[in-house]
Amino acid sequence: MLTGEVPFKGDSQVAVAMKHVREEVPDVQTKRAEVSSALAAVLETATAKRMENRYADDAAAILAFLGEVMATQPTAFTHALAALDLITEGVTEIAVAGDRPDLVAAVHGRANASLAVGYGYSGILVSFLARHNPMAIVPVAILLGGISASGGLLQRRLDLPDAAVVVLQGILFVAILASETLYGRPWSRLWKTREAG
Amino acid sequence: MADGSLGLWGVPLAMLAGAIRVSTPFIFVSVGECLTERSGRINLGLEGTLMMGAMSAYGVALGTDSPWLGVLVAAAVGLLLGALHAAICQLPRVNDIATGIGLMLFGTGLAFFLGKPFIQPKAPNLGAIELGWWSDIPQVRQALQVNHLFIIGILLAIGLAWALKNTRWGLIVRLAGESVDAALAIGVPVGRVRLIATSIGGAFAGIGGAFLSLYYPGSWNEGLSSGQGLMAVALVIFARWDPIRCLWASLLFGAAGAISPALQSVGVTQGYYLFSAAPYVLTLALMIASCSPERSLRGAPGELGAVK
Repeated sequence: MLTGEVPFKGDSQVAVAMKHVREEVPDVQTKRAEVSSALAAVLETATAKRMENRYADDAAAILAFLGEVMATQPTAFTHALAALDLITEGVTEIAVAGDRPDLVAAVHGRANASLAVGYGYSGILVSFLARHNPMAIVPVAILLGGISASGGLLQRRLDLPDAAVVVLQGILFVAILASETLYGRPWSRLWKTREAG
Repeated sequence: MADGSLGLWGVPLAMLAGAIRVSTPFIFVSVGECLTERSGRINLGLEGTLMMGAMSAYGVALGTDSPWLGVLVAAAVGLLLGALHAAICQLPRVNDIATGIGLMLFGTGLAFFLGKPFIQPKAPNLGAIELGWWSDIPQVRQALQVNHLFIIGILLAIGLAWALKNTRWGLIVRLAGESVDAALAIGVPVGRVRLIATSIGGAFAGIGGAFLSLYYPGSWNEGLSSGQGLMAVALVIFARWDPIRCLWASLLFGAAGAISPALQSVGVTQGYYLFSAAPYVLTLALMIASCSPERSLRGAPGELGAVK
């Protein structure tokens, strides 16, 4: 899929099958130079001839890829925080589906039912923060996803507990929701309520 | 084989034990939320309050060796969180449901953040009253171990039901929940009534959290609550804003939650996860059975955001 052609070519199906068995998959980077070395390394392991050299399953492969990217390209990683958050979610889904709690733990730092509950509620809050405007939901959601994803980074780089980012989100939400009262003509509004009360 | 000797009778017994043991946090949170909602405000942040209560109670019990001091501190923390929610919602144009969810994230996050050092050590437990002394069967004795907080919770529910119906304070709370205009007309400070009701509701939830970390399951970890606070808030609607029915709903919920492990212990191992969903299925079924197209939510306070 990366190179646009199959790895092995042969005259007959038998020839292709024999090549599959005997030859190593050619290096992706020789066909397409722009493929990152991280991805190439992961592909090499994923297509290894001996089963025990391969990844245990898809989730492990994706995890390894994420790890390679983080190790080789830290700046690209920070730039892609929001996108990676999606991938992280995807890995979690795969890991949950495959009943591999250890992988969920590897992605999130831990596996926790109440944390998963929190994600759904963040969604409701995103809608509130976007003032229920569908177009505004996209940037707000990306921002929030970025903050969530940065939690893992905080944990790895600064040794902060993973809950730090939840606290930050909570404070952020409450502060923004409370500032709703200042929306519009804030001072005259506050003045009015004070007169009324 | 003492376990096998009871046979299928173990299932209802385990459900009784579950009703007594698991329901206590539900009782506290739902009775507290009942008071809050009767005053016309919804506090969805009680999940966070529950976790903060559990964490602070465990921390204090660990530090001072006194679990009851932990319960007191948990109530105080709940009071503060409730007051914070009420104070924010009192500002004009602030949505109490969204603020509640925000405070839920804040509370759980803060509890995880501050509670990291408490995950390993073992804090002293709240004791239990043995009500099974008359029986020789160990399972019965175990099922009838009743924690003090369970009894306090029942008394609170009955007391609140009585106070709402018969006292001047109860009348003022109900008035603030039914109609702000009428309350203002006779000079009731609606904001202050809701502040007090929400704070007390938060304190109840804090005590519920203390039960979780100090009695059953009796340790502090991050999966301790797993949504019990939210479920208790839903139970209030299920109980039609009546403290006594909150009590029954909590007991029912606790009993249904015990079905799955009880069936496992007598050898029914199929459909484990299905039976784990029993409380939720039961709640949904009862909600559907008790609804009717003619009347909308009966007993709902008129000023409640969700009903409007």
